[in-house]
Amino acid sequence: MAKQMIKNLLRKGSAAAVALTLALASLALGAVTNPSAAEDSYSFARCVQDKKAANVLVMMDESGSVYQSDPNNLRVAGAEVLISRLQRVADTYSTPINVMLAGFGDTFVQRTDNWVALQPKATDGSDSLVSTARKFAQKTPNMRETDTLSSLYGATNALAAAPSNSCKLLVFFKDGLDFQSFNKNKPTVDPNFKDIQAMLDKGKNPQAEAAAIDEICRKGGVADALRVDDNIYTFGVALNTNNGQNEGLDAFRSLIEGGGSCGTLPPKGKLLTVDDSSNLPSLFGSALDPDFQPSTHHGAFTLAMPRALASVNMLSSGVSSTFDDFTITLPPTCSEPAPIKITRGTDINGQTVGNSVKVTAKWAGANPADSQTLNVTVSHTDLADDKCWVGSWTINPGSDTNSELYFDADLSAVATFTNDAAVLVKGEDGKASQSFKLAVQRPSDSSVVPAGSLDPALDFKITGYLRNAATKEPVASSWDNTVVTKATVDADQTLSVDGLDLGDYELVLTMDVSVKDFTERLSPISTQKTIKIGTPAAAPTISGVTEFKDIDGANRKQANVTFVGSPDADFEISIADMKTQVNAVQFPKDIEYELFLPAGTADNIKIGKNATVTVPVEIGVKLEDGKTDVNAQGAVRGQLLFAAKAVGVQQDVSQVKGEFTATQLASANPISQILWTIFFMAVGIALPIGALILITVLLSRFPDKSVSGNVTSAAFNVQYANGEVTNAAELTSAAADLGKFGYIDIAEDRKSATVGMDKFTVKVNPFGLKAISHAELSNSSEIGANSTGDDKPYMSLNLGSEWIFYTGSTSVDLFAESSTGSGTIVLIVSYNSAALTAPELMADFLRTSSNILKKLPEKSSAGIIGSDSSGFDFGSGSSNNSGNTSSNGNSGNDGFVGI
Amino acid sequence: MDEFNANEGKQPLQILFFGYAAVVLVFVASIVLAPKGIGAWAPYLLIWLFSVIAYVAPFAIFYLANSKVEREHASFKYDRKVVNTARFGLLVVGLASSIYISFFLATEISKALNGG
Repeated sequence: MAKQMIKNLLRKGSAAAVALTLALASLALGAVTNPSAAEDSYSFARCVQDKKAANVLVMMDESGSVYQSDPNNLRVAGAEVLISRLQRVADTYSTPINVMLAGFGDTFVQRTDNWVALQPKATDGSDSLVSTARKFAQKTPNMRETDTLSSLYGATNALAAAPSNSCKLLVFFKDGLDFQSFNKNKPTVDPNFKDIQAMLDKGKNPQAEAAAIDEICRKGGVADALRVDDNIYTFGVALNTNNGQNEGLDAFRSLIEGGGSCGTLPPKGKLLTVDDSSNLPSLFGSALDPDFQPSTHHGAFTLAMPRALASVNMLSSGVSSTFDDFTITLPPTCSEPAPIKITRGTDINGQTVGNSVKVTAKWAGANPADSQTLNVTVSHTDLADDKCWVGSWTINPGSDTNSELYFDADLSAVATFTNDAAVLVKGEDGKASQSFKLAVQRPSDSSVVPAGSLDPALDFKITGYLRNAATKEPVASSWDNTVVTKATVDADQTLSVDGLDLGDYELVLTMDVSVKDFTERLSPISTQKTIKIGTPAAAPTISGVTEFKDIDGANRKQANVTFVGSPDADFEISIADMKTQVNAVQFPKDIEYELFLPAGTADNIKIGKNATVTVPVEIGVKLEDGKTDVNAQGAVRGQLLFAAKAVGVQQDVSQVKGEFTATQLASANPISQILWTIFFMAVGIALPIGALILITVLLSRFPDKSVSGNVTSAAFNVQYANGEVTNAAELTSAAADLGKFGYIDIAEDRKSATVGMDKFTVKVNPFGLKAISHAELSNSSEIGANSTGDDKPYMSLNLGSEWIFYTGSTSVDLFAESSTGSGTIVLIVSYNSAALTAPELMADFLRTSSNILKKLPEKSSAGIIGSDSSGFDFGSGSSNNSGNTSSNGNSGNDGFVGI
Repeated sequence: MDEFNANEGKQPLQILFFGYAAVVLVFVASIVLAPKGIGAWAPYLLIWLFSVIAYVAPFAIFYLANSKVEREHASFKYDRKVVNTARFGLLVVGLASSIYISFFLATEISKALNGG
């Protein structure tokens, strides 16, 4: 009991501000003389009633600490209660409500498949959402961080993608003291924040966290991007707050409610804090009407239900696990007097009692069989039969249970303007007014209820105020002092304003119902109506702005704006006018924009009466003095405001608004541009060269044993004089002697071959297209020729049959007409193919020897002066079809014969 | 080419042809796709990589395939100058294409670095 009292105290404490607000609001119901005293209270249902479209995003903390802070997963029960209430709004206003469930932790993670529609009078949407919500009880990989920046960025984008005229509600549940915290081991952030990721990669977590908070809170940051939408409201629930005393909570409160350093646009939101998770179902349930305090009961209670009320919703939380006898006993006059018993874990889906009362009960929580939270709605479905409705009710939810009761009379006050044109025309004196009628409607079926037909015990007061549609700030109007009662509701009403700017406003009407002798607190029902304060001649409108797409650095970017002319007069759009401006609400840090006309376009563009005119405009970064480049990038969103002056009509200059989006790109730095180009050019050149070298170096070698095992070789001394071989007969004879030939000696690495006393080593020249790989004599001063026509003493790597002749360059007389001396002839004889035999090879050598010997002096001198034919010959590429005159079966030494 | 002996082997010239085609294809793709926006450097990097592969891979494959032809047909003779010119041409055209693309890649990287 004591524990419960403490809980109640805490709950009441956390709602102290709410109570104060309500007290002020109650005073305001009497007479609000100063518009600044009128508090704007949020009502999701009111917005849905006006806009007929809604998107609700529930972002639930999935970070690791939440599983300790809320071990019974009552946040799941809270989400279910919220889903149930959203379904009621959908049913009441016959409007589908789109809901998305998402996780908050390392980043924003959608848990539903985009938006799930809660269709009126249907249950499949809510069933699907409840099933998804229950998964919040399970741990996910999205639990390592409290990355508010990434998560809020995702949520903002999801809501921004929803239709602009939709009522948008972000329910943001956060646990713990940290406002922004990255994982110490492997921190991550949304890819759109590369500079922060760079800090994290360098281990600069504190700096990264400060930068992340700045990215949320700066002008044009994520907080502003969230607040810019006229129809968005943020409802925050903070759990485990150290009794509200910590910096993280202050930052979170500033984000949701303003009042701190987070965000520059007016906030539209409310934060409720709690340190005991048992209150979470109730807190989540209040998201749709956070300023209302319902009737509460502890333990069993009775009600004297009047005829005037249409339904009651009971949220019972903290149902003891040992109590399993939740009962509702309807009046004894009911034909079914037995108590309605609601067994734990078993829902009741629209059970009818006594033909006039419908009961729906849902156990909320990750595991309904252990649920401590029950959400019951009892409705009076047949108003003509009140036997089961009017009278004394007894509700027994268990002695430890707290119950919140929301009573509903199914009535609302709706303003009806003539021809549904809620436009107040501002005169030259700055005043504007218009009359309208008030109608009392039943929201459930939109039927109008004449005041005379209302239950005599029911009374009401209707009060109202006017507020700016964008900022939701109340503004002065005649309704600040107006109270309409049941007796005066049928009279003509007037809305008057004085000195207000042109633009969109909302008239909010609140119907405060009371029932004679009924002491429970009744939910006030409010409605809103969009009002326009305009000029005598209505300004043109913008039907569309084509996308600017990428704004490249400081360059201007063009888009087309389509104006729809006024039905009343011609107008002129002036780009030079002070009222023409770019109102960007999301943009990269420290960047401002301005509008230009494309070169050669004249200002004061005429928008004829009823004409549709497309005007090209340019947007560009407003550069600071001395700056020429833009050092930031990111999404840009906002409004283009154009000054529109009526031609021939004396009235205020209007501002015509059009939404725009763009993406700002940073300027390219010319130096880094050149350096990077050179870098990639170098890589582009290096890659083929590298590939070439790799191929030739790795693969240029003699064949393995399977080939070289069938190759023999021998070296013979060649004597020559006056350009003729003098021991030709001896050589011919030796070549025929197989005993002089042995298997060729190939080194283990197959990079060299030894014949006689000489060693031929593989030489690789990847750039030489003719001789890309061959073996050369170890003594580079040797000159000579071979049978493949190389004119050099090279050995082919394919080990085909060939001869190689060489002699020392120093032994050749440079000035002799023909050579005299000695050299070596090497015969390579392959048995792998039908190639030439040793005698044939020798004969071939002897046949060409005179030519070879004649060239020796020339080759010797070339060797001395350093002539080198190797190197790049990509372009020239010599042909091998002329040199190989001997047709010895060896095509030359080009190729990877050693593979 | 008058001594070209078709009976003993054949240059795998179609590899070079595919190389030229790949270079042109990637070049045209880079113009048609022209990645834009934040992070455009990533698709440009991919296109640049393709542009390099488009000429390096056929060049290397031709090199290997051609040497295989020569090895297996020892007496094979052909007009080496024409083949070398075609091979060198692929390198030049491919490199020119990749340098063109690398300029845009460098621009996008520069923007990304400048924009933080």
